[in-house]
This record gives sequence, structure tokens and C-alpha cells, in this order.
Amino acid sequence: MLRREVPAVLTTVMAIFVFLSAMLFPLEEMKILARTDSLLQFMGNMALFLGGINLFRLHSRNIKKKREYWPFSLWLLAVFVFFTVLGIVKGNNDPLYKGLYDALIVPVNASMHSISAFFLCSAAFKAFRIKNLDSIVLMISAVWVMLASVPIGEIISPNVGIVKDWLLAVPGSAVARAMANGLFLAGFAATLRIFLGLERRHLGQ
Amino acid sequence: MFWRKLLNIDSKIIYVVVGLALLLPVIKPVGMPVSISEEYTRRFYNYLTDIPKDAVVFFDLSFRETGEAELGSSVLPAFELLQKRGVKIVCGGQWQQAPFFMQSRLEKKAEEIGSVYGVDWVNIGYKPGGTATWRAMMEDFWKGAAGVDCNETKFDELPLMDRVRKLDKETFAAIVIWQAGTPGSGTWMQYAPDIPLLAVYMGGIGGNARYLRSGQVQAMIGGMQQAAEFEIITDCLGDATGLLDAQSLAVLVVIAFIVLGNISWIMVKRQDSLERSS
Amino acid sequence: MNMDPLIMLEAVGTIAVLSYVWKENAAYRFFEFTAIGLVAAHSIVQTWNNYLKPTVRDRMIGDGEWYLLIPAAIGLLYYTRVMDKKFSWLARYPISISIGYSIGYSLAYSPRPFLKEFRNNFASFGHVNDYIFLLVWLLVVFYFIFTLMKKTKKTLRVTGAITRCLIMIYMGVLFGTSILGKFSRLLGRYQFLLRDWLRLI
Repeated sequence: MLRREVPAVLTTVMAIFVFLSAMLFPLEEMKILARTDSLLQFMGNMALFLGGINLFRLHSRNIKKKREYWPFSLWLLAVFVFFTVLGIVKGNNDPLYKGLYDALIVPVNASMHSISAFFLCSAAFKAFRIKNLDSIVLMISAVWVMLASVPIGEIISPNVGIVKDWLLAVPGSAVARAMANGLFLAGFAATLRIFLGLERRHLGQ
Repeated sequence: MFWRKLLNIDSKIIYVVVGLALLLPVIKPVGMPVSISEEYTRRFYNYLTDIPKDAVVFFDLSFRETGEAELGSSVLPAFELLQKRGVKIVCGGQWQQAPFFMQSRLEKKAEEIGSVYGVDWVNIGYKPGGTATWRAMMEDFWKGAAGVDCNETKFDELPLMDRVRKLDKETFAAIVIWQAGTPGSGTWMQYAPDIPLLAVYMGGIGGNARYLRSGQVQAMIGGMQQAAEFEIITDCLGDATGLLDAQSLAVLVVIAFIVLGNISWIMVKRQDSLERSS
Repeated sequence: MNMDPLIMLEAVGTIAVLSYVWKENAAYRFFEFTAIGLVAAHSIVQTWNNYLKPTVRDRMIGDGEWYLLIPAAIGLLYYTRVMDKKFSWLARYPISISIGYSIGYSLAYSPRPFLKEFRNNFASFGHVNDYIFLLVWLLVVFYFIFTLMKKTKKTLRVTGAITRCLIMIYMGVLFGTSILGKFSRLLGRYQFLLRDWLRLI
């Protein structure tokens, strides 16, 4: 009972408590929720080391079993420990901490995401095929938006930008809103399932 | 034969062409003319300039390193524009990266224009905990933000924070968000719909234009072009303006790839069907 | 060329990661693993320095808000997930509290932005664009609702084809903005290499 039923009931009780408090009082008068928000924030942040522990477990296994790239796993753990200790002991404002962040995290993250530009261009050449009316419309819309979003579109004709703005503001927005509405309803239904106790996957059941 | 070869071209050749198309205009920009979009950039600029002197604005820096060139470049002109007009700024973010790495860029800009940290602006840094954190700040900003800024300086040592006791419409004249994804403006639409919201989107406005229509966002800009337009309109030229030519050429290259890819595909298909029939 | 060691390191990191486009290599892997370690560490440091440390120091010890020990104790139960399997069920308590809490908020507050947008569809009809907007919105909503019937009803087949084209317009917008976003990321890196490192521009 303590392992399954109580956590399931707790989920619903918490949901009812928050839902009723939020419905009965306007946001600025919700003293109870304001207090519990702060407690929840504190509770959630206690899990700060969980990601680090999982990282340690995963890479320790790599090293132990001498899997591919295991020396890199060793390096990763060394970097992780060093940077954590440096940040906690010296603080956010330490020049070495800031310098290493700027010199390593900024370029690596930015570069990793930017290389997909090359793959997208390759895909545009090899996979973007005009096979039917839908794909023709897709291509025209994509090309139009790209052209109108750079100065060359303005050079071709001032109307390029006007049409793009209309595409964004009217049909584009209407489609986006209809899709967002559908997503909301689906999400709301999923939330309701957890609320009613029909969905317990978050408890591993 | 030529079309078949073209169709099966090594991807690495495409990479080289794209790489060069982006590289050359960065080295030698042509300086293509940029006109200001009335619907988006001018409206965004006008909204910022209409914020009364001495009001406080919240900058929500919700992006990571990938958005540094595009989003980062419009943070600084907005910062300069508001600070020069005497509007106070409190920075923070729903993503942990930008409030941290933008601090040194903001400090540099503040030094340039003579803004005093703690008096004219404060960066509270990233506060973990998701929406519970923002809701906690709506009741008590100091407690929700743990009472320290991004450099761990206590709020009671920062005079500006005396005025910032709650995250509400009485304290903040507007929230300006720079967002590269989720979480983003949705948080404010859901929990702080009374505070005017301005948004800067990565890549382009896309489907977010619908929020202007519904009045959930008061003004918005998106993409490199509008970032450059904003730099020009605020007379604070930065990264975006210099990179627009490169993006223009890159767009032409992508369009050329799409057209060439389709022509070669059609030609090869026609050749194959001719061979089959013969 | 800028010989500052941190700028040099940033340049080497950028080139190593970009080299992945050509071929996966050890330099790329090295920087990838380094970044993962640093990002994980940074996340802990930010949570500790910006929130936990000052809250414990100022609120719990300074202001005597000792009741914070209760959520702290419940929060610590998260760690039973990575302990002996015998205790891992205890982690369900903080999880169920936070999930229940979020659901309550979601049920209460998420309809508001949705309803605001919904209402806006019918708010003004002063311009022809307002009618077009409503028509497109209705077509897409009905397209999704009656998807299963479209093969049997001729009217729905026709409107379905029109709606698909409208959806494709939006998909094209997304494709275009996505490509532009990728370019701006890459250009940011080029600008760093050419301006801040090589000082060519």
C-alpha cells in the first residue's frame, strides 16, 4: 500500500488541493499556494545531484567494461568533478570558472547545433522532392519565407516581404493556432487522466 | 549521365559549397540595404520607447549559446535603448545558460553607456525550479529568487531590488523575452497575463504571429533580419547587421540546391522511364 | 591572431566540433565529452550557488525558517532511485507530490491562454483577413476532427485537399525559419573565428 496506492492518492490529493486553491482565489490572493510554491521549489531543487550521480554511474560502467571511448569517459568525469568543485568553492564570478565556460561550453554547444545547417542543405538537395501539390506548396512557402527574411528578398521586390508578413499573420497563424489548440486539448486530456488516477506511469506502474 | 552524377553527388561537396557561401560574405560583406518592418520591428521599438522613465522592465533571457549571435545581438541594443532612457532593467531567465554568459556582455555594454550595476540594472541569474520558481517570485520576489543575484550578491546590497518585491504588473512595466524554444513566452501568458509581454524569437516569428493577433504578446521580432533592423533603428550596430549578407547568400544557395536537386531528379526519372520503354 | 589562451581554446573547440561535418573524429569526441561534463557540472553549480546555498544560509539558518527541512527531507527521497532497489519506491513520494502539484496548476491555468486565443477567433470582423483567418482555423480544426471520414465523403475529400495545402504553407514557414535559425548559429561561430580569433574582419 505504501509503495503504490499512497503515492497514487497523493498525486490526486495534491492536484485537487492546487486546483481548488487556484480556482477559488485570484492569483494575487493565493497566499496558501504562494507558500507551497516556495516549498515545492525547495523540494525539487534538492535533486540537484541526481543528474551528476547518473552521469557518474553511466560513465563508470563505460570505464569498468572498457567500452568504446572509455578514456573519454574518464576525462568527462574528471572535468565534471573539477568544474563542480571550482564552481561551488569559488562561486559563479570566478574568472577561471567564467573563462572555461566561455571557452568550452559556448563554442561546443553553439557549434554542435550549427553543424545541422550543413545537413539541412544536403537534405534540401537530396530529399526535398516536388512529387505532388502539397510538396509544391510547401516548397513555394519555404522559399518565399527564406527569401523574404533576408535583404535579397527586398531587392527582388518590396512585395516579397509584404506577402511573407501576410502569410505569417493570416493563414500561417490560423494553422498554427488550430494545431496548438489540438495539442492543448490532447495535453489537457493526458493531464486529466493522471488527475483521475487512470495514468500512473510517472510512478513506474 | 550528368544529371545522375549530380543527383548522387557526395554530400561533402555540398558542405563545402555551403561553408564557403556563408564564409565569404562574412569576410567581405556587401552591405545590402535593410528596410525596417513596420508591423514588427517598428512596433517593437515604439513599445520600448513608450515605457516611462524610471519604470522597471524584466529581461527574460531564455536561450542558450546557440542563440548568442542572433538573440544576443538584440539584447544589447534593447538594453542600451532602455538604460539611456532611464528605464531600470532586471535580467533573469528560464534557461540556465543565457543569464550566465550574457552577464559579461551586459557588463561591457553597461560600462560603455555608464549604467551602474545594482542601481540601473541587476541580473538575478538563472533560478532553478521551473514555473514554481516564477510563481514563488510573484508572491515574494526576494524569497523566490533566493535573495541573491547572479554573482551571489545579496539583494539588500542592490538598491534597485528595493523596488522589486513582487513579480507583478505594479512592479514591472513589461517583460521582454528572448526565446529559443520552450520554456518561453508560454510561462508568462499562463501565469502573468497582466504584464505586457514583448518577444524576440530565434530563426523567425513563424507561427508565433498569432499571439500578436490575440494580444497575448504586444510586440515581437524574430530572425537575423529583424535583429539587424533593430540594431539599425536603435543605432547600435552589432553582430546581426554584419551577418545579413552571409545569410542572404546562404539562402540563395539553399534555393539553388532545392531547384537543382529537383531538376536532376526529374531528368533521371525521365531517363529511367525512357530506358525501360526501349 | 588573438593569442589569448581562452580564445585559442574556444577556437580549437569550435574547429574540432565543426570537423564532425567531414568525418567523426577523436578531436570532436574529446570536446563533446568535455562539454557534457562541464554542462552537468554547471547545472549543479547554478542550482547550488543561485538558489540552495542562499536559501539555506539566509532563510533557513538566518531567518529561522526551519520548516524548510520538511520539503528538504522529502526532496532527498529522490536519491533512493539510485540507491538499493529495496528503497527505490520511496522516490515515488516527491515525484507524486510534484506531478500532482503541476497537474493541479495545469488544470487550473492552462485553459486560460487557450481560451483567450479561442475567443480571439471570433473577436473582430472588421477586415477581410479576419474572415480568412477564421475560415482557415475552422478548416484545419475540422480536418483533424474528421480525418477518418475523409476517404468516404467527397466534400471532406475536397476540403481536406485544400486544408492540407494550408497546413503545407505553415510547414513551409517552419522549414524556412528553421533553416535560417541554423544559419545564424553557424554564422555566429564563423564570426567568432574570423573576428575574435583571427582578427580578419
